[in-house]
Amino acid sequence: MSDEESGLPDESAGSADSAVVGAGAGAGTGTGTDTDTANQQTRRRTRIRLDGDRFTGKRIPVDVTPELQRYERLVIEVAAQQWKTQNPEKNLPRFFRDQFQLSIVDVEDGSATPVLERVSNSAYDTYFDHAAESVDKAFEAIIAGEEEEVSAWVTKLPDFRDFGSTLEAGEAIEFRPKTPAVIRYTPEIRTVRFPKAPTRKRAVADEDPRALVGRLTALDANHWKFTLTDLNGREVQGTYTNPDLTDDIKAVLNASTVAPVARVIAYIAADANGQLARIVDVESVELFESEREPWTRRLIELATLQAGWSEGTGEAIAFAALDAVREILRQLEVTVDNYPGIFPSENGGVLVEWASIQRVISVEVNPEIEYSLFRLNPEVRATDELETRNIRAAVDFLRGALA
Amino acid sequence: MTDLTSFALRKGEYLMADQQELLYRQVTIHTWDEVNRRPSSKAFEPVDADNGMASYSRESKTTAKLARQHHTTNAKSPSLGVWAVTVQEVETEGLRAVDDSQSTPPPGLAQWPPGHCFVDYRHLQSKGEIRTVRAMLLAKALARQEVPSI
Repeated sequence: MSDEESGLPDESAGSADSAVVGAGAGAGTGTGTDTDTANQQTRRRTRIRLDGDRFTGKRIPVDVTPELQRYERLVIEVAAQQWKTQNPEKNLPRFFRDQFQLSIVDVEDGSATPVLERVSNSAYDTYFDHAAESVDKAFEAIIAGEEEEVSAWVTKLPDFRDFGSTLEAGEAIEFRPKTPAVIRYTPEIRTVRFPKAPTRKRAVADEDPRALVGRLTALDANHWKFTLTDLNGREVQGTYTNPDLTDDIKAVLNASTVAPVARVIAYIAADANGQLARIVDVESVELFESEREPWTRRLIELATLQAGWSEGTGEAIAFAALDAVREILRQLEVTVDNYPGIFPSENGGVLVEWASIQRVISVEVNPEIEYSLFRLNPEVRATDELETRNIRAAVDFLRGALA
Repeated sequence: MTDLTSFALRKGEYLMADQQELLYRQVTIHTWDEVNRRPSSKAFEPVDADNGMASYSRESKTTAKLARQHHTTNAKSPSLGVWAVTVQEVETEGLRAVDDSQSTPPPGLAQWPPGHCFVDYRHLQSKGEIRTVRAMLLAKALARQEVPSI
């Protein structure tokens, strides 16, 4: 049985927790996850205490239940990342995320303490157990003001940033409740640690950042303001609070391309009709070199896809993958006579496909810029395949297949 | 490849018997090549949300037109056209064509679309296997050409 099939972490690789969240001084105290080590059956149970007047008598307002959903999603994402870290040459197993599900099996008093039990018994349970500990430790580090101990990708997860956003002043969520290692997370801590994250009080702004694609046409670095012109020519005013972004925006404005297109990951404010009114804050700015080529429009269409574009799933398409596709099409000197289909992939990559009754030829580029080459002769069901990181090898394969 | 039979059919599911019956597949914007007017091979595989079971419609229980209308009315992305493969073509690729119209719909779905069935990809683990299977189904569908649905 392969590692992928067994789902077992490489114990010799050290702590998966520290590898992912980088938990240092603020981590590793107490009991790890909230578990009862005296009984193997309860090892899969987690207690999260909701503290505040609203929770007295074991009451859990429906408004607060998103916190439990966020916790579940956080464990899944951290587990997935741990798996990828320990299996760098492999793709995440299909349905990995489906292997983890929490159920509320009890609500204990004081104020209200839902007892969450992992439903599944899968080959990946060890990852989910480690992930739960990592999530605890990440919050522990954040509370201690040791953000640098937590991997940046964790703190950027919307579910991490938004965790606790349904709590009101004076309330708290506790991990490992009633133990010496209790972790107490409050709205006040969240506001200080994630000042840029929108709160419920910012009614005009989206809870989650969105991907906007357009041309950055003006920058006022002194006042941290900019103008984004969308692909229909409409100007939108924006502001940002992270001073590091000034250089990023300047880099886009100074790009060699005549009309550089950029993707801006931003918190937006909508008007009464739900349309983009202004950009409240920016998380990141990324240049998308845009020459006027036959495939430019299609690539920009893919660049504008929001996360969740495929029936609620589907990552935003990585600019790096779009850049790689454009380079392949240039090198192949694609014309209208051999123009391929260009499609988004749910993992944030791009599929380029030449299809007919006689043959199917494709290259799929993932966000890590790995090329999966494929050629099929349907008549005899014969295939040629190549996995490579080398664009020249990819182009050579396609030239041979298309000849 | 995992053994196909390790995924037992559930109550209300059964294998489709008529080898020549068409399975209609709705093609949406993300799997449609507007320039060449043909679908992607991705159109014939399940998306992540399908959990390995790609939704199709049975020729014997609905029409391409009705299936397309139902999809466009109820799904997030409207159908841009209907393409089809047969039960035999599906089984030749080592897949199963399963009528699940008598099974309990998933949470959030009051009832199955008319003539709902699925092509079972759950046993396929590697991307290479899936890539070959979906490309074979695409080639068969292209040979058949688009099914009139307007």
